[in-house]
Amino acid sequence: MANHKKKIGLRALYSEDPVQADKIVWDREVDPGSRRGFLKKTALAYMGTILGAEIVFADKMPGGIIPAGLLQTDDPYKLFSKHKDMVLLNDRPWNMEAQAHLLNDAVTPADKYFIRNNGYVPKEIDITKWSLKIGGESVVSLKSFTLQELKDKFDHYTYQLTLECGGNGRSEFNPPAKGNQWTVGAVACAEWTGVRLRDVLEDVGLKNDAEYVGYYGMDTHLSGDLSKVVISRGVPMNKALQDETLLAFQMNGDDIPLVHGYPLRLVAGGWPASASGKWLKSLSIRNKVHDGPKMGGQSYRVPCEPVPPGAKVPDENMCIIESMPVKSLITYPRSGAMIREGQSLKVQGHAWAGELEVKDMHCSIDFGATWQKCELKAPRNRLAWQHWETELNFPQNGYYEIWARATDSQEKMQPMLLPGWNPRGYLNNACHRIAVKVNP
Amino acid sequence: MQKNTKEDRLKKSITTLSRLLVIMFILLAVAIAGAAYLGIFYKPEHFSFLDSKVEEQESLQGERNNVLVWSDTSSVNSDGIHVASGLIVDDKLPLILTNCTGCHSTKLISQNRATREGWKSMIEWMQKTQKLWDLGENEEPILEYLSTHYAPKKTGRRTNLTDIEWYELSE
Repeated sequence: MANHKKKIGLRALYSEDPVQADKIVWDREVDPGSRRGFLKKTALAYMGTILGAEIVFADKMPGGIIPAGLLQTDDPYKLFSKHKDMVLLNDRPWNMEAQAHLLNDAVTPADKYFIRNNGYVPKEIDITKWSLKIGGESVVSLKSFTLQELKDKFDHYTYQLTLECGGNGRSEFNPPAKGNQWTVGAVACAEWTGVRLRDVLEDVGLKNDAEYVGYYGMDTHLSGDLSKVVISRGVPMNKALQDETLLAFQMNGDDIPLVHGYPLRLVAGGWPASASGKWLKSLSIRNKVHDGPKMGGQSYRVPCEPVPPGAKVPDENMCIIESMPVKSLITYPRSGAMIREGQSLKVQGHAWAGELEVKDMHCSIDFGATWQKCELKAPRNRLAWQHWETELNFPQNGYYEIWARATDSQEKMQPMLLPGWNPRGYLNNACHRIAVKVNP
Repeated sequence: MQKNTKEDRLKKSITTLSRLLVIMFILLAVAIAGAAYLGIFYKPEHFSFLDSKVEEQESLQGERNNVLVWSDTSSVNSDGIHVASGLIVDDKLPLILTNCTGCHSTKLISQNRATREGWKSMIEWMQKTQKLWDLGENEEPILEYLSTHYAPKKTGRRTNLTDIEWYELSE
């Protein structure tokens, strides 16, 4: 029998639900007002004893009950099997991005795939007890599926789908926007295998008033309050019913890694990645725009009308982000390359355009004064990023920046400057650039 | 004869060892109680002696899970950064550690930039949606710390490329 449980490292386990862990292990309860201290003095003494015997204790009691202080060496790169050049932005919750040069693969391998979490990663998922429940106002009747039922009952599809965090590029906005300061690496295109959300919804049976699919996941809130939903977003019906919108159980041909949503996640390519819920436990088919946490307010929303930089925008004037804008990356060479006089330089990358296709790709070595067309491949399937490459020659020795600019099928180009400012710093699709020197 | 001596020595060392263990246990309990006391009754003036001395340590004791607590056996790097938290050191840092690290990483502070007003609105957002407590009289010094050390830089609409690691590209 296959191993049905996925486990992650001790620190992530413990940080899962510290309040419960404290209660179970130490019989420790904190003052409910200040959320500090020890109500029972015996617990304090007990904790002191155990701290002197960490190894024995850790051996005997695995499963998320280790004092965090003992676990400072826990390494997210090992925990999640990530490439050493990935950049850790946040450790509570875990957030990690790639650098442009790590993304040169046609299909992004798991070790170079960005991590974006809003809460704690579920610590342990027992697939024998797991099921996906589908309910909400607009289902004919509530239905649930085990993973095996989903796999057996519906046809499988595999697509390469681009997922980009809505806040990718946030670090460049001025005035700055709060949140993880993503630079360029919160994007990836993996190969996802699963069943079509549409097929599953047809099997469940929807009422005519179905408007939105909202997801609920198994991640838990940073406050430790298990009753709080971390994030519950989703997609409107027209996106939900697309061929490429999957309930995915495989990433690049393997079970989805825990940190990326095992055992089942939504994948809605071309939309902010937060629409593609991880660790699904239920879907709610709504008769209105879904109103879960991070659907409203300022999260994953931008001003409906453009605003000046730094403006305060009331919630009611903010609109939900749907398709992501046209964008591209230079993934080869890594920024900082020095070549010799007379040498030409091969440059490669990817381009994507949300719901649309990329039509043209250009590069400039003179800060946009002239642009040269790059060779652009068609996408493997709709919503997959497209690969491009070109060969550049330099007129004289010196410092150059290579700027890359994609144009989508509706003639929209990436701006060279930052696009319209918005309060939370979403949708920065300004041209990517790298530095190059030509030496004698 | 010789056997007795061996047994005696063994007894003696067991007694010594057990005494040592008891002493170590008491010391540990006192240290933890001290840390817990600081966590419960924290007031910035207790730490005024640290004003000119810059040190750090990450405490084992946190009321939620990972709260960082200032202590006097700590280290600060040459840039004036508190090593355990990655934050800029001044006399208000203990307040930041106590109030901000229960729920989130200090990386969320160090990677962000905002005006006083901006930081205040983040605090309000955390109070409204993330179960952050009322900061009371600590709110002012916390805001002062954040808006002083983590203020926005004027970057315009595109900055120069910086921190370029140059390397020879051989094809």
